[in-house]
Amino acid sequence: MFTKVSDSNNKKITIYFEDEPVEVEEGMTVAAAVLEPSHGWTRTTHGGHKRGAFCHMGVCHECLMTIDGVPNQQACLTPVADGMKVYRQNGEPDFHQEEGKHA
Amino acid sequence: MSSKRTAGAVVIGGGAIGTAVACYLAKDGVDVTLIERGEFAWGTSRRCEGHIVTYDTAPGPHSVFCKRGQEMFYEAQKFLPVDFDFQPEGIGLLVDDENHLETVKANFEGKKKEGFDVTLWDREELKQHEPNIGDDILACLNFNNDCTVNPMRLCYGLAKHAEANGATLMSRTNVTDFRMEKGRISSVVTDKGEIMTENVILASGIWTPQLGAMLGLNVPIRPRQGHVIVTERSKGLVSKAYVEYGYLLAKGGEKRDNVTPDMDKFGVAFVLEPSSAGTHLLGGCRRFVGMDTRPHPAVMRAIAERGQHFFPALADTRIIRCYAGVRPFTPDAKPIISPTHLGGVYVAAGHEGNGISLSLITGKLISDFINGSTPEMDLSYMHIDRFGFNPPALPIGAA
Repeated sequence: MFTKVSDSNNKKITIYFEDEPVEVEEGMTVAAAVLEPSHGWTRTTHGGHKRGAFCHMGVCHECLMTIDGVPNQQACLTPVADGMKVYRQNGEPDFHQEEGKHA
Repeated sequence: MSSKRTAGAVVIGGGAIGTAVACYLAKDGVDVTLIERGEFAWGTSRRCEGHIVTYDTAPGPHSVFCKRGQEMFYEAQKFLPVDFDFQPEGIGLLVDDENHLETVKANFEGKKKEGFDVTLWDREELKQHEPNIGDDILACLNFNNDCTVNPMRLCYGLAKHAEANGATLMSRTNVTDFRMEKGRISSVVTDKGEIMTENVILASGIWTPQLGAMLGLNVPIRPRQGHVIVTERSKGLVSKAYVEYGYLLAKGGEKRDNVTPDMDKFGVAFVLEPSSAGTHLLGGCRRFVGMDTRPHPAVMRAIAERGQHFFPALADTRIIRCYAGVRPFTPDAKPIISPTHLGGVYVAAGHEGNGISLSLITGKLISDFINGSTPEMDLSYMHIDRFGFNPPALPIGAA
């Protein structure tokens, strides 16, 4: 479905997808960066079904991920940053589990 | 179409009240036709939160009436063919103002005397149950039998159950005329044919006055707008539905000095209901703006601000939708469940903010009227005669 057109000269940086380091180019979106390592699924629904980025333009909300500790982030609208920690979001975010966020 | 049919009773309105009236009439053996202009649950019943409440009535006859209405939901969930997300977790009435504590405590004692299952939490207890509660909240009066439902599913369940008991459901059907004979209703004319009947129930909420006007019946109902904000899905924010004591003041149209001018102007009071889908429904407001059901940014902002006062963690939650609806308001904030001066014409409308709560008991009462059995409780305070806008109504049985 997706093929990379060409290598750009953008700086290579490292983000962490589910704690695994992934080398990506600066300027990409998180959704694009994790396409390969995530096997195309970025979250599960309320009912436990897999979902992945569909529109890549901020409309469908299928690419919601937990990015640097903040849940419900639209991965397709979030540019990558060095050292970023990205997790799949399983079901709804839980107010009880986010450290420091709702203190 | 010029077909002619007959029916034992024709119910007009496919919201919570109309479907409940049709359901109980059909259960009691009446041949019912239920008419809805659009689709079922198309009006106010799809633009509300589904609270089955006793928290918003001061102790007294109406409080007992609401309690009975609520008890019927515990029964209905056993026989209705649609799962309507019945959540009997109770609802908490939050207090954030010292000046309200006394009234709330009196309410607590009064409700206990009436046999309600109520508990009163102080700030510490509240904090234990709801870690996300705001710091300024002083107490919570829990109505442990209050519950929430999905109002649309409720309507579908009631309509389906009516149909299973022999009712005819007519959606996308407009009433164009009524025919009378010797002071009694004789037929309802629609764009899908004429229905000969001796009983008509006007159960169209805010649209009831228009039907009344066609009959020369003055039904004093005004639209009172409310907003519902839907949040994105999250877990662990609250364990049940909550509402603030100020909701009762806003409903009574009283001036409130402990909120921002915008909140006071828009009648904003905090209501929060976790839905079974994981979203949260956040309300609400009370505005007289005619039939305007467009969400207003300033109102949404005031509702969001009020919400964060009670649950600051809402600040981390995005809004995914907002919708507004109009409640059927009556001058004395009580519903109209009544026969009229026109033989065979009944009104079941004007349940501002309590339509879902009182839907089942309203259906049962109307069914009792039509079957000629006099209800055991005094219903005069819900009678249309109390307004004095129409000739005196016919007594039940003679109607």
